[in-house]
Amino acid sequence: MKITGYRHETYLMKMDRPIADCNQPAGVELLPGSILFIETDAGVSGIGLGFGGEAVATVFAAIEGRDPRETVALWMRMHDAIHKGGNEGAANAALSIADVALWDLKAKLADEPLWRLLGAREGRVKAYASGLDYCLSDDELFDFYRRLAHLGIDGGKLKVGLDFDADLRRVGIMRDALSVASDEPMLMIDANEYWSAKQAIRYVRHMERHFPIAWVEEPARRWDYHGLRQVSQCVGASVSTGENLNGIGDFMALIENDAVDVVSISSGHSGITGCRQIAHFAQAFGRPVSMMNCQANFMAHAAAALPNHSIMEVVDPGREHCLAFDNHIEDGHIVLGDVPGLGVTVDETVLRDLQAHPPTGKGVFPLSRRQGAGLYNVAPRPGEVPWRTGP
Amino acid sequence: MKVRIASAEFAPADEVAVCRLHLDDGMPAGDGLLVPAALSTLIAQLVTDELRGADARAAPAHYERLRAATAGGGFDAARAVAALDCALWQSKARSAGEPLWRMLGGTPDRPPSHVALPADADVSDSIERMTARRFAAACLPLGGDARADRDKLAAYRNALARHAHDPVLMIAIGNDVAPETAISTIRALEADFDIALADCHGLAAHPAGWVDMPDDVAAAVCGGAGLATLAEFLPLFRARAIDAARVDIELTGISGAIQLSEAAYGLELPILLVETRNAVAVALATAVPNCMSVEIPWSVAMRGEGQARP
Repeated sequence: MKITGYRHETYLMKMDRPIADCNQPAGVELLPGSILFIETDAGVSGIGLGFGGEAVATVFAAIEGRDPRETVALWMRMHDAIHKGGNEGAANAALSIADVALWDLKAKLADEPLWRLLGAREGRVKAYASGLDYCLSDDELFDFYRRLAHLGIDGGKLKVGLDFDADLRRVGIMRDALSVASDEPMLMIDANEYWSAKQAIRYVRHMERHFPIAWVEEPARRWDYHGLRQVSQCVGASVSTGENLNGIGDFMALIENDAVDVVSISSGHSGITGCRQIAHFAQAFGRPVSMMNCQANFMAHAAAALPNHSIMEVVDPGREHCLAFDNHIEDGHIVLGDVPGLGVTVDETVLRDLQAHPPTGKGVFPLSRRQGAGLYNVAPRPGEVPWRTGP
Repeated sequence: MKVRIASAEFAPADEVAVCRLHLDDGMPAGDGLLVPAALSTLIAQLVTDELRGADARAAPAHYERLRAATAGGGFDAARAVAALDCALWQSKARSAGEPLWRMLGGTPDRPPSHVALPADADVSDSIERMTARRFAAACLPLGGDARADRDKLAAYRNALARHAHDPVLMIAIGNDVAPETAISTIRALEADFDIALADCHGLAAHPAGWVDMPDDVAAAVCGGAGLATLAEFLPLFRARAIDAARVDIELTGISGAIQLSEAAYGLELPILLVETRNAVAVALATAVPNCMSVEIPWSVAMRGEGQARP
């Protein structure tokens, strides 16, 4: 059996609601989509979701003609193919999406859902709600977390960082919304690298006088293992970080220097193969991992098979326009079905329509970094977010 | 598809037994590892208590469960869990109709390998048998007699060089050798030999004493003999006491070996995979990112096993 070709489709979609963090409080409504089909001479194709642009051609050249079931060895071939200049960013995204497509393909060829192929006992992953919610009004915030709490989700992560009093109020709103699922919901906050380590320590200590914070995410820059360790040692909350790194090599300094307590992993970490590597590395040092959000929650397949996976982020902003998927949320868990592979199928008609008629809207993902980051605080301007109307 | 675990069978042979799982639809399941016959009872108990009725395809998940169930059980428990884990992976591969190497995500390519030479064999005879199997790399256990070790190393190096352009020479240092002695021994040998790796069997038990060794010798310092789990390797990782990790599948199983390999990869450490009689290491070697060599035990190599594709 051989890999014979690929088809890479990109498109733009308008989400059901905007998403934002403190770096770009007004948020964005548009999200680029990317679907990679890897084709075989057996007539079966694998689907990868993620990003990845022109570099897909480079990584595909490394696997063309090979047996698609040799997933880990193919990961090595792609990894080695982008060894030199330009090996991060788009090239890593291409490696990531191709690796996902190959695992989907391997599972389809085995006629098994990917979670089973990867060796999970059950296709079930505990979830927490994550609003990417800096741009939501207080009412919208409550509605989002309450909606997911009604599905049994008892943990939430709020975007914070620019206005302590508002953040304090909104953590309370999140907690109240989640209280229908638990008397003691798991509360997390995420500053997306806006603070310095010392700003983070002051902020989190203050917040902890009011709420038990389970983890603070990206309280300092992604590579600042010294600063992140400082935060971890100086606050009660765990430090979670890693989502913006490329792969296992980037985690060495963080994990070895005890700079991360909960390791964020995602398909962008060089795919499912890369996620497993990072998880095992973290496990050796006694650290749990947490899978980041993704379209159709497809990475729950990988999370289900990781021995140290704790809880997966669910955002649910409406970004599955051309996708159908075999999973749902129930009792606070992502429940994966038995459809072979990732259980994701693409509606080609909808995809063509999105490509032919790109939507318009406010801002395009990814979110940029805000002025003052790591240096001084630039509070939201009146009107920049719905919850800040006055001076 | 029915792939539920029904029972374990043991095919005793002398003092060892092959652990073989049976599935509930009667289809052939997987053979585990050779284990001491005395472990048969423990393994059978684990199957009854932890695995019976479970889906054999969830091998990594079962590995975690078995490790938890045998926590504190020491060496015997590790071997029992490893044997069952290998049987589970073999069952998983067979249920998918795939060879083990492909199920693991590897390739049919042969990985680099070396033979672990016998400590007390006749040198001329072992050289003849080693070269007949065209090994390009070998690991010699040092015996404590510096002159004799030096002579043996020279003989094996010359033998390897007959058919290998770039022969690889490794040494193994017993667990009764103190770190200071090991360092002085290696440094003395390095004056005359290019030693690629020194497998220090005493390192795992007392990593703190060996912590400076990687900086003192040119050879890659390898450790991990007798260790089975990530937790047991952590002191070595923390202390950066090794340049390479020795992963013995008869103690780690396949699931544990994958975990250890990928954890070591996070620290940019290669691994040395120790082969089993049913060629599990060769199957796994291309499915992990950092296997520098598969060690073929002498007894396995002389049977012609451990080098064929599983």
